[in-house]
Amino acid sequence: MDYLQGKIVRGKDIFSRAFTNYLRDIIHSQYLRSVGHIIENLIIIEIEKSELKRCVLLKVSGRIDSATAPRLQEAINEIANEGKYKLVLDVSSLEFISSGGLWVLVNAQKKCKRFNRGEVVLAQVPKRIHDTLDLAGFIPYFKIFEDSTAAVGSF
Amino acid sequence: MTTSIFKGNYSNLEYIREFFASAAKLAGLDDESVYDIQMAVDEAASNIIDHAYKGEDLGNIECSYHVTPEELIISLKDFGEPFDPEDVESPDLESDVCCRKPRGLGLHFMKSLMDSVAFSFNGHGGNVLTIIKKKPALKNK
Repeated sequence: MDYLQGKIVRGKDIFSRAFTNYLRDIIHSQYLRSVGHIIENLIIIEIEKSELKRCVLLKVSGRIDSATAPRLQEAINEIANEGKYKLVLDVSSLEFISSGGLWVLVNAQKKCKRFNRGEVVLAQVPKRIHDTLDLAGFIPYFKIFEDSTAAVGSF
Repeated sequence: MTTSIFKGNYSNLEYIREFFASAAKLAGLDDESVYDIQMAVDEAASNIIDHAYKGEDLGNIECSYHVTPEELIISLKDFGEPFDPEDVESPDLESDVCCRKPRGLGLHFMKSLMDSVAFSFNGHGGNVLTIIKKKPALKNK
């Protein structure tokens, strides 16, 4: 019980969906069901990185707002610090992005495109996220692909 | 009028969005309008933290809503520094990625997604942002 409570207290950390799914699978008692519900509500953003041959694939799930945008910024900075500027952002499970989040994407694009060393492309953009990008006038800034395979293949 | 007071920090943006999403569903708005409202109030609350209080945990955000037969009226009240929305440049939606500057996008979102956005300032007596979303059947009148 203390172990589980420790996990709940770190509500602002990134939890893996695998952990949540695992926990849900083992939930039987009423207590564990309520704990699982609390943990599910605390997962706000999840970032999964895959280093591929010609680019880095970053799957960003959940919600990007002023609270979570810095996490995405950190993840992108880490990749850039390794000298990698070819980035695919899989946003298929992105539910929400605020203007603060959009600026993380645009700043990433500015950095990656500098000296023609690379770029950020988007894969599987949900309609609402596409509409938000459009409202901000950001659609021209990004190549958008229907799926991650095509996006990765473009590099 | 239903009111909930939130501490002005980024972690509460999620709860402020949920609070007003519930209001929108209560008002009978469709899913797209509910999402638009979440976007607008997120921008509004973020602006309050960034510009009115100039930091997190420096003041509260009083969130209220009122449903009428025609519309959902939302207000966010803070006790920080007022700002003049006329001073905020409209974002340049046409320029190249290299030249885009981050000012003005939040306000642009609010004005585009909502039917009306109005500010009233009373400095430390309270600044109120009022946002209205009309119910769909009446929009085409």
